[in-house]
Parts: sequence; C-alpha cells; structure tokens
Amino acid sequence: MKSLLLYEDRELPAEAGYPEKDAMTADLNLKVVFQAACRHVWKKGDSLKQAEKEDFFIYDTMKRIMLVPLSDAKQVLYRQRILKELLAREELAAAMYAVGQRAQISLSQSRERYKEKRGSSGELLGTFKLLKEMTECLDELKGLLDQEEFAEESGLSSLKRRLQEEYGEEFRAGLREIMEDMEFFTEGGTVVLSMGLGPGMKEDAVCLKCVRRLGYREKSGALMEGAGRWYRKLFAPGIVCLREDAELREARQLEETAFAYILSWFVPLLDELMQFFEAFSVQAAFYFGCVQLRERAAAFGADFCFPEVSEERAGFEFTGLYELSMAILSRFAPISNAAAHPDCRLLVITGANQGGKSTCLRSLGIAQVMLQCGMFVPAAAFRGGLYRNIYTHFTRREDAAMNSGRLDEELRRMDGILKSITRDSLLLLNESFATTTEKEGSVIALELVSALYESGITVAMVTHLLQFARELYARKPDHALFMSAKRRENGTRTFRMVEAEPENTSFGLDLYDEIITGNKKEA
Amino acid sequence: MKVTGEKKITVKKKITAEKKITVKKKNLKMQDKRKTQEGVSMGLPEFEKTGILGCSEDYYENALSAPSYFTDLNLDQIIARIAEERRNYDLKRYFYRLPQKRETAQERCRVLRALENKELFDGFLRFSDGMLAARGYAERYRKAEFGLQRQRFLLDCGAAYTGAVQELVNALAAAGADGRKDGRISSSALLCGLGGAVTGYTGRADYREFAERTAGLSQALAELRVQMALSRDRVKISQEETKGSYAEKLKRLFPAQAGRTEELENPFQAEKEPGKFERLVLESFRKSRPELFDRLRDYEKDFSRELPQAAEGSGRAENFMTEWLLALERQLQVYLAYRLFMDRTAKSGYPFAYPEFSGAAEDETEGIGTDRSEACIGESAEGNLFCAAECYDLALLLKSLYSRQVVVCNNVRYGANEAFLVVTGPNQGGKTTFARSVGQMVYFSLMGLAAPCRQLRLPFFDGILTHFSVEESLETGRGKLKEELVRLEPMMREREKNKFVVINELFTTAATYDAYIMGRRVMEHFLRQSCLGIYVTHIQELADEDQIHEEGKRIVSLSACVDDSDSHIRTYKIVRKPAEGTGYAYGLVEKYRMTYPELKVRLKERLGEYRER
Repeated sequence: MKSLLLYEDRELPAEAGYPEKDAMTADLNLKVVFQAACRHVWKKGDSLKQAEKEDFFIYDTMKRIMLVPLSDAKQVLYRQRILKELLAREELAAAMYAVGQRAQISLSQSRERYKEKRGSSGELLGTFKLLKEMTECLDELKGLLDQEEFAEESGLSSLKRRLQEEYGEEFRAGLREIMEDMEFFTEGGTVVLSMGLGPGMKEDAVCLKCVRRLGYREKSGALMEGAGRWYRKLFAPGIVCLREDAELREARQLEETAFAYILSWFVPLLDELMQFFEAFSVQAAFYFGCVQLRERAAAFGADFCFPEVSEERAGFEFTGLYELSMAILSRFAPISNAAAHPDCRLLVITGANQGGKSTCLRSLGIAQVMLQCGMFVPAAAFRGGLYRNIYTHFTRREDAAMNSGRLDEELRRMDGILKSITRDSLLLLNESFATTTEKEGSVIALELVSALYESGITVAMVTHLLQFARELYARKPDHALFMSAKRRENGTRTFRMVEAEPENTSFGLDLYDEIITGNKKEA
Repeated sequence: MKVTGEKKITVKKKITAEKKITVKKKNLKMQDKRKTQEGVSMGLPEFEKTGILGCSEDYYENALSAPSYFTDLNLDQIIARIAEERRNYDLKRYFYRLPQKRETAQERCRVLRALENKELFDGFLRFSDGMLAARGYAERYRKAEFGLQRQRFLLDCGAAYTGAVQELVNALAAAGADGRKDGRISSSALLCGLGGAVTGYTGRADYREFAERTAGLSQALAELRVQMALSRDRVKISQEETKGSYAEKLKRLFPAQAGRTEELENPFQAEKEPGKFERLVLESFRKSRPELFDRLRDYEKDFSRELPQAAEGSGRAENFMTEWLLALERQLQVYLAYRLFMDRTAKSGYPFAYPEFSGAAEDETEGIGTDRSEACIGESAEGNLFCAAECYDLALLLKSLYSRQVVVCNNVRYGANEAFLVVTGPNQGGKTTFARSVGQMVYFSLMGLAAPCRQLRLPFFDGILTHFSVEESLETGRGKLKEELVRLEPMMREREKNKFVVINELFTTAATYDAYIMGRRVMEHFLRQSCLGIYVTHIQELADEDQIHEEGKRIVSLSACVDDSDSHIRTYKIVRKPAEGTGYAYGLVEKYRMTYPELKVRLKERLGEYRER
C-alpha cells in the first residue's frame, strides 16, 4: 500500500536533488521560505501573530522535497492538482498532517522501546502495541478521506480508492479477530500445540493448532483454583498441573513462542504500514507546509499563482514576480518585475548598486525552485521550463577582497560546476569574478558566458562588469535579454528592472550622493 | 581415620590403573580395526595422504606465522578477507606455505577451475556444511550429560556425517569425477583421486551398514508426534494429533504468505539440556514407542568408543568419522573460500586469470635447486619470459570497493633476456602499488590459485623476496640505513636462487651517489642468482638500461605517467619509458582549464554538439 501523494509512481524522491544544495539554499535565501512554511500564522486584529515554535518536521520536509526537482510537466501537474484541492480544504490538510504526526510519534516510541527491550518479551509486546497503533492511524486516515469527495483524476481520490480496496471491511474484521485472539498472551487463555522430536532429543517441529482467549467466566473462576486442581487430579488424569517455577517458566516461554509466531505473520503488514506512514507523514507535512506558507503570504497581501510548465528549457516569462524571502522578512509585498521572452537563454542584469538586481535574480531562482517541486510561485503569472540542475554562483562584492586566493577559490567553484553541468541546467551567476579587476574579470566572464551560451545552457546573471556586458551586447546574441535597474529622471531608484542596453556606469555616484551627501544635509 | 583414608586412596589408584589398561586395550583394538579398514581401500591410499591441496596436513602443521613478504605485499589484508569467506575454519596457515612443485600448483589450478562447475561447487559447500554440523554434534555428544539427549546427539552426528558424504558422492558424480573412466574432469588428478577414494570408502560393508541404521532410526524418530493444550499452569498431553492448524486462519487473512511454513520457531534450543517441562513431554514420547528408544541405546553401544581421558560428559566419542575426510573438509575450504572471494571481486569488474607457467614442458624430474630461470630464458624463441595483462593491486581494490574508486590496471612484460623492471616516476604516482600488484600476482600463481590480472604467463619461482622501506622511522638516517641493510642481508644469501624479488625504495636515507652504487650492486647480485624482480626507486640513474651490460640488456626502465595535459593529474599507469623529471607552471585560469577554447572542448565533451533549434 502506498499513499503516492508526491509522485504517481513512488512515495518519496529517490534522487539526490540539486547539486550543492547548501550553497543554493544560502544564495536564494530558501531558509526563510522553509521557516515560513513551518510556522502557523493568524491575524489578531491588525497585528499578525505567529506560532512560537517552528515545526522542525515540516522544516526538514520542505527542505527535503523542495530541493529535488521534478522531471516532467506531468509530475508537476500531479502535485499542483493535489495542492489545489488541499488549499481548498485547509482543515483536511491539517488533520492529515496530524495523523501523520501521530504515526511518527508511535514509530519513534517504538524505536525507543526497541533499544531498551530488544530480545525480551517486552519487545514482542511493543511490536504488538505498534501494530495496534498503526492500524488505528490507518482507520483514522480512511475515515478522513471517506468524508470528502475529490476530483476523479486527483491523487487524493486514488488514495481514497486504494484504502477502500486494500483495506476493506472484510480484511479489517479478520484482523480484529486475530488481534483479539492474541490477547491470550496478555490476558490469559489456552494454546494448543503439537510437536515432534528434533536434534538432541529436544521437542521440535512445533505446530500451533489453535488459540483461545480466556472467556469472562474462566477469569472469574480463579477463586476456585485450588478445588479445581483436586477435581482434575481425581477425574481428568491427562491433565498435569505445573507447580515448579522452572516448569512454569518453560511453559511461559512456549506461550511466548506461539505469540511471536502469530505476530510474525503481521510483520509484512506492519512493515507496509510503517513504510506507508513514514512516507505519508512526509507527504502530508509538505502539503500542510504549503498551506501555511500561503496563509503567511495572504497575511501581508501577497498572492501566489500556479505556474505553467513550458516544454522548452528556456525563456523568461513572468508578471508580478516578487522576491518571496524578502516579502516574508519585510511583511509586505515588494516591488515586482515582469518579462516576456519565451525563447531567451541568456539574461544579463546590469545597473545601479542597491537597485534590486540581486533581488530580481533571486526572485527568479526562488520561483523556479518552487515551480520545479510542484508548488505555487510568488508571481501574478509565471511560465518556465524544468531544469534538472540549478547552479548558483553568488559572489557578494562587499566581501570580495582583491587577491588571487579569492579568485582561485571562485574559479575552483566554477570548475566544479562545469564538471557536473548538463544541458538542462540553469546557471544563476551573481557578481561573478568580482574578486579581480574589472578588466580581467570581464575577459574571464566573456569567455565563460559565451562558451556556456554557445553550448545551449541557460544562464541568468547579475553583473557589474560593464565592459563585459557592453561587449556582449555589441555581439547581439539572438536569445539574450539585457535588463537594467530603472531610474527615474531625477535619479531616484524604482527597484524595478526594465529591458535596456547596459549603461556605462553603475550609478555608484548616486549611492555616494545619497549616503554621503544626504548625511551631510541631515547633519 | 587416617588409615582408612590411605586405604581408600590406594584402592582408587588400583581401580584407575585397571581402567587405564582396559582403555589401552580398546584403543589398540580400534587402531587395529582402522588399519584393516585402510587395507580395504588400498587401491587409492595416495590421495588420502596428499589431500586435495596436493600437500599433506603435516606440511602445514608448523605454518603458524606469515612469511615476511606478507605485510610488504599487503597479502595479510587480502588473505584475511579470503579467510572471512569461510569463517568457521582457520585457513590462514594454508596460505602461509607455498607448494614446492610446479606440478602441485598446476593441479590446484585445475581443481579451482573445475569448481567453476556450479554443481560441484555447491555440492562441496553442502558437504562442508554437513561436516561442520557433524563435528558440532560430535562435540555435543562428548559433553552431554543427560542420557537420552546424548544418544540422540550421536545419531544426529551420524546422520549429518552420512549426509555430508552423500553430498560429496553426488557432487563428484555430477561433475564426472567419481572415478569412472569417462569422467569429464579426468584432467584433474586431484579430483579423480578424491573420487576414487570416496567411492572406495562408501563401498565398504561396514560403512553401508552404519549408514542404513542411521537413516532408519532417524526416520522413525522423526515420525513421532504428540499434542498438548497449555493454559497457564496446567497442561494436557495426548498422543493423538488433531487436524488443522492456526496457520490456516492466518493464511486466509494474509493470502500473500500462503507459502509459509506452519512450524514455529523452536523455543527449545538444541544446545541446552532439556528442562523439567521438556522432560515431562519427552516422557510421553517414550511411552508412545518404547522399542524405538531401545534401538537408540544399541546404536550408541555400536558406534561410539570410550575416550582415554574423559574430561566431562560421559567420556565417549563417536567412532565413525575418518581422518582423511576431516582433512579434506579443511583443505577444501581454501578452494571454496578463494572461489567465493573471486566471484565477489569479479562483480566489481576486475578479472582473475589462471597462470600458465612458462617452461612447463621441461623434464619433471628436475630438482628444486637447479637454475630454472636459465632454462626459461633458453626458450626465448617464444618471446616473453613473464607476461601479464591488466594486473592490479588486490588489496587496494578491496579497500576502494567501499569508496568506489577506480583501481588502475597495468601490463607487465619481461622480454626474453630481461630480468629487472626498474620503476621511477613522480611521488604518489602508483609505483609502489604497481610493485605490490606484481608481487601479489606472483604469489597467487605460485599458490596455484587464479591471479588478479586478465592474462598471465610466468616462470615457476622458488619463492618471493621483498624489501619495503619502513616509513616514518624515528631513527637517524644512518640508523635507518643500517636497519635496511640488516633486513636485506638474509635475502642476499647464496641459497636464495630463482626467486621473485620486489624491492621498494631502498637506501632512501643514503646519499644519492652511495644509494646508486649500492642499488646497482644489489641488482647485479640478484641477476647472478637468476632471480627476476621489480626495483622501485627515486634514483633515475638506476633505470639507465645501458649501465648493466651483463649478458645483454637485462634491465628495463618503467615510469609512472602523468596526464599529458596536466602534470598534476596522475594516471597511475606504469609504462616502459626512460626516467625523466616533471613539473610545469600554469596560470590560474589555465590551471582550471577555463580558457575559451578549452571551455568549448570541455563542454562539447560533456554535452555533445549543440544545435540551435
């Protein structure tokens, strides 16, 4: 039995996901997104409240699922469909997550018990307890899904159907009956066994004939024990009473073996249920995380859309694209950008310092990651291809010291990327080769970007290397898009990117004026 | 009181003395009997002496420590892994001594090759399992106190033993090595000898009677059954068994498990003496068929002997297991373990090859002391004296199986008159690994086992000599040199002839000129002793082929390669070429191969040609 809420054909991602996940998470500020997904948010009057504690299970799940891209449009659609249905049923999403958590708690308790009581009869009872809890969880999940009606082609409706087929009434009745029989071990009862002789003249080839749990009357008859014993001694000669401790111990061991035998039949079912809930709890956590993320964004008035997947691994098409992590941190919907170039493979962003270049690049990266894991994206509309790999190569000019050690390190990282790059990769370069002089950096960047572009790899980059940008622009590659931070006539920034020819200055003077001259005025 | 005490003691002494005499008599009888038994199988006494390894057990009796070249060639690691394949046996000593004759090594190869036959291999495995079980029961029989259990252990021992012998018979018959003339594996003298010996043994009347009685009694005891109803402190036992079982109910619920056995995991472990509850049940078994239990008592009387010194238990032991079959079981494990090890290693894609000994057509009566390599060189018309394809360091491979690193294979060739390969090249370039891999290859060939390479032809050496420098010695330079020379001295004695020599970084602490002179002398000495070998060194002059002119060109220079485009990349390939120095400087971008032309090539290599759509 499988829950199959993330993929049509398997439970959890098997791939390792994006290369250099940690660098990408840091460069794209994805941590903020993960955190937003694992904290419940609600409005109280005008102010926004959020849960005190992060739910680490959701955090880990978001990190695990979001960093593994889907490989085709069908898979994306499959997740989008389930997500849409659960966004419309927030309570169900929460309840499903709660069932998953209950199962997780049972599982971890059982693991703890296993460590303590391995090899003893306590281990058997622990397994029995886990079996009971797992079946209860499954019952509860079945109950939840049975109440709802889902669209026919949705993954939720097929899960509901599978539960009904593979876990029907008849099977559950049989399960209950045997599990009640098994109470003989805890509450008392009769075990009938047959056996032969094996090596060392020890009883062998033991076969379980039947098991009977103690009836109510027999339980209450315990008072008459002594009298009964005498009665049997006189009138029922086949019966032997065990009185010595050693005898009783061995008899008890035999009972335990019978119990373990029955339990062993449940092992495949139990394994299946454990695997089911291990996977299901992650899946439920992912969708519940998505629900909470949307709640969070809704609280500050930003909205999401479900993106379209294009066949080509190229193109920059979006409207109202904003940087999600910044929005979450600043609690309002920030400046958004738009572009419409379906066949572009090279995006070069130049322009003023502090003008929103990096933010724009990051917003593109975050949206692409969210698109590729079947989520909604922070934009009014978005269309993009599916890239197997997303590489980020971010250098912050602020901490770039001019020495060859830094350039060496930068080149080594780039070399690592080149060693594993595939054609279906998206490469995000932010201020690369800022660790050397503009002249040298431009030469390196031009050679690198031309070679990558000519090999058909999609590249989006932010650069301050104007010599490079202008030279590239002069060559006028067919599928390249040049954007620049828009300035108003009076020199103030809009933080919005527009298509433009790379200009000759980064407006560092503006910044100088703003900070130095502005401070002087204030003073 | 004192007097009576002393008396008692003297009486006791007398009794023990008498006992000893009777024991002696009995033992003599047993020995007599055994002698006549051997007489029956007079037809093939040879095999029983030599064993399946072609060397008697006595040959290995004192092989307690590894030869000195073991650690140098990392053979200790490899042998440990091989021995792990058959954990229940102590196999190491069989690897510590090489067979003395070329014919033995060749015979062993034939056995190993015959084991490619799955039926034979599995049959031998089952034989070993049976013998292991039989020995286990024999051990328990000697120790058991409780009568019924003891008798049963003897029967179980007999059953396991006859079962194992039968497996052996079947396996040999299936492989066509059962002594019949039309046998398919007639080319292996050892297997044919084994087939003959086994056929002789199982054909004897006393063995046949023993096997029949064992089988009959085991069968009858296996058919006994009783039933009990257990509820807490009372139990009802009956001789009749009701039909049906609880498993049927479980199978209805879990149809997928319909094939499961209805037997419970046995709570009554066979090692333990029966407890009180079990004896209670056992008593009801005895009541149901008393005559069976009488037969069991007689069985013990007939098939056990009294031990001369009874440590514990009843002081009796089985009397039917033959010594040569027990030795066969032990020696057979060398082949089984190696076969299993080969199969496991072969999964990683690295080959094994059976060695072909050059000069095999020589007169077989040739003594060990004669200079064989000269003879080999004599047949230079054929071309190469020693030739191997794709040999690799097996110990390194075993380590890298976890890390999935690639182990580099190299070819080795000694031309007609060539005797020493001198290996030079950059540090960490694979020189030592290469020397080790050749040493390992020679060792396994001389052992008569398949060697870690794709193809191999070599002369039969009389042994292996190695000298590896001990690294990170805290001693002063002079102290280390002395230590090296002390270790070198025994290798350079006159009697060490026709050996394979591996020398790694000799005289590293001496001045280069001194080291060169000493190295040359060492090599010249081994050449005179008609040894072949490998000399790994950092002294490039030693590799100068023209320096030693004795009987033409006898030294070959090999060098560890670096990548053509970048001297930082080691290829670990060792090829024939003159020694040379290395080291180039690169610019940063060039270093990372990120200039435009190189990028184009790299991306094209990785991604193929890109066409604009």
